[in-house]
Amino acid sequence: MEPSDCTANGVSSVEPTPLSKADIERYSRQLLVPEIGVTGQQRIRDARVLIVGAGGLGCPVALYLAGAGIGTIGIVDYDTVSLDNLHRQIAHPESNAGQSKVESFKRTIKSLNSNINVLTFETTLSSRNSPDIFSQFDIVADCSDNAATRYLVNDACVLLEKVLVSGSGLRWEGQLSVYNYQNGPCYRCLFPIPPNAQLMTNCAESGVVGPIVGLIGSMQALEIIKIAAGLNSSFASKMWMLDGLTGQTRTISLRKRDPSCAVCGENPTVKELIDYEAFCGSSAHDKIEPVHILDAADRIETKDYATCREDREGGQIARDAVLIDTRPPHEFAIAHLPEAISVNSKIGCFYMGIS
Amino acid sequence: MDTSSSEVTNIEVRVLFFGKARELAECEETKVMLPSQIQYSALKQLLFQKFFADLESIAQSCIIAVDQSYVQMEELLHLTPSTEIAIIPPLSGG
Ligand SMILES: [Zn+2]
Repeated sequence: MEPSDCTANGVSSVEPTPLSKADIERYSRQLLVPEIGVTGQQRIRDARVLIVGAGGLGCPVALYLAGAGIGTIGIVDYDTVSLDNLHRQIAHPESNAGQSKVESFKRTIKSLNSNINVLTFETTLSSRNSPDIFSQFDIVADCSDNAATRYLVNDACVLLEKVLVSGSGLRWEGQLSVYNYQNGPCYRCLFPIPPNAQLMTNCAESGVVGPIVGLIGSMQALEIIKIAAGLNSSFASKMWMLDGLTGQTRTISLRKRDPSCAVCGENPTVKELIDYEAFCGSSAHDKIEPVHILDAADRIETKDYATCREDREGGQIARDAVLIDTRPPHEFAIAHLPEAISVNSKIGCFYMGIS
Repeated sequence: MDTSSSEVTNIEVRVLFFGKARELAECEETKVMLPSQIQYSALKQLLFQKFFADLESIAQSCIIAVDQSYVQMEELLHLTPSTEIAIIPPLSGG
C-alpha cells in the first residue's frame, strides 16, 4: 500500500502547496534528510496530530512535533499543572503550577514555534466528545495515564480510521507501538481483556522516572514525524520495550489484526464508543483510588492516632501499642512515625497510610 | 522438517518479567523446566498456575512473547535452551 494514497495512514492525498522561504530556512536541517526532503516537510506542515494527555509522554511529543513543524497540534487534558509531576512533565514551567495543562502546553508550543496551530480541549476525553475531537486530526498520540482512556482512544481510532501512536511508561519501563496501521493490530487485539482494576498501578502510586517517558515520548514523536512525512513507521505490528534500569531494549513482533477483535475484527461487537470506565472498572485518570478498608470500629484514622499520641492518657495507649507500617520499605523511608515498625507484607491486612 | 514427530524433552528456558509481572514475581527473570514442544494454552497454564501462581491475577491481560514474538491461542511452540519467554502486561502510565 502506498502511504500517500491513504488518509487512514495519516497522510493527506491532496496536492500540497509549496514551502515558504521562511519554512525552508527554519526546517533546513530536516529538509536535508533525504527521506524527508521538501515533500516530506510539506506533509509534516499539513499534518494534524492529536495528543491525548499533556503529561510526561505528551511533553516530549509536543516539543518535538512543534519543532518539526507539524502544522496543527491538538491537545486534550482536563488537569492542572502540578509541581509533583514536573520531574517528568518538562514542557510545563513551574510558574504555571495550578493552571490548565492544555493552556500551559499551548504557551510552550507557541514559544517554540509560533507558526503551529494549537487546538486545546480542556476536558476529560469521553465517548461523547471523542468523535468530534478525533475527526479533526489524522494521527493520534496516546499519551494518557490510565487504562480506561487507552481503550477509549483505541476504539475511537479504529472507528474513525486514525493511526494510533501509543506510548506508556511506569517506574523504569516503557512501551511503544503503532496501532491500527498497515493491517497491524489495534490495542484490543493484543489486550482484549482490561487489566484487573485492583491490580493496576499508576504513576501516582508507583512512580516513574522522567527520562523513561522522555524516551518513549521522543520515540512517539519520531514515529509521528515518519508517518506524517509519508514514510513507514517501524512499529506496525511491533512493540518496542524499554527497561531503563538494566539499559535493555527489546522489539517484540506482534500479531496481525485479530479477525475476532471486538472492535477491529470481522464481526465487531463494539460499533460505537462504550462506557470505558465501566468496561475497565477504573476511572479515566491516574489519581489514587479509594481502597477497601476495615469497618470504622476496627481501624483508626491517622489524624485520630496523631491526636491520641499527643494527649497523656491516649499517649500511654499509643506507647503500649505496636504500630506496624506495611508500606514498602522505600515508602517507609520517605516518612514514618518514630515508633513504627516496618513490616512489608504482601498480604497487607493493615495499611497505615501516613500523609 | 517434521518437527511434530521429534522427541519431546524437558529443557530449561529463561522467563522474563515486565511491569506488574515483575512486581508480583519479585524478580526480573528466572529459569524453568518446560517441555520442548508445548501448546500455547498449556504453556500459559504452567506459567500462571504452576510456576508463578502469584501472577494468576494478571494472566488474562498479559502478552506472552517467545523469542521476542507474540504467541497466540492454539500455537504449538518449539522451545530450545536459548528460548526466552517474556511475560508482558500492558503499561498504562504516562
Ligand atoms: Zn483489534
